[in-house]
Amino acid sequence: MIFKFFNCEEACLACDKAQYEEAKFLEKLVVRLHGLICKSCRKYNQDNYELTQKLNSKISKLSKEEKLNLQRKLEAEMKNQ
Amino acid sequence: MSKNLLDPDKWVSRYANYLYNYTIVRVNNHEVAQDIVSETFLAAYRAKDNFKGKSAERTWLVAILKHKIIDHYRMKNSIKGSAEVNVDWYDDENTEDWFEDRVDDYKNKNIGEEIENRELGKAIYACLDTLDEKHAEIFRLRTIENYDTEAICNEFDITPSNLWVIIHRARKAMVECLKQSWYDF
Repeated sequence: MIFKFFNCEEACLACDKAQYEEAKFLEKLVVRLHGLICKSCRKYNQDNYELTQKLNSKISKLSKEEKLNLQRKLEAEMKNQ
Repeated sequence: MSKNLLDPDKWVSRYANYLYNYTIVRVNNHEVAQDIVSETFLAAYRAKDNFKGKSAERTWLVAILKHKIIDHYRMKNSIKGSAEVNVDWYDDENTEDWFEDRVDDYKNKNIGEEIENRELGKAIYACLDTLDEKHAEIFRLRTIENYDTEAICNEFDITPSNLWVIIHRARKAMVECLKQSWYDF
């Protein structure tokens, strides 16, 4: 496990998982501790976090009901043909 | 080169948000954008036999969507032209109210933010288009459509490790692209 604190690849992978709330406690710890000793990974974490912010808040999405409505219309068309 | 195939059952789950985003920045109205996306799916389904498999499914749907957006503006302009109302702006009784009625509305105070959001959405999708097609698809499904990691792995027949490598490359490429194309990244 200690090895992972020094491994950039592991730290970046954990950081990616954290963006999707899939990082476990130890992986989050790896991101934090590795960030203290590695400047480039710290930068990667910042960029990654900012990308998540932009993607989550700035992309317009259809609601589940709206998608369901589209699906129903398409299925009705499929049955008609 | 292998031929691309259509899978209409998955169009809505895979492309509805993408097509909606493409449309909303061009028509600026939620209901209209939804209708255009719906019409696009229906038109695509009716024309599915014409699909030759040379382009990706999404590219083909976007081509149809572009025509639908153009049709929307054509129709809008023709309706506008036939129902044009000539207003006399120099009507003595209303001249003073005219300016006041058109003072910036408090409801519009967030309009700048809204435009910025839409433009950013456009920039994000433009960057997504620069990625390798498979990477873009996997990134989009996981990030924008919120598909489970497991579901994507099953669909693309890849391991979770492969998926995270793809996501990592896609995220790095997206950051680099947005640094070039967006002002405050």
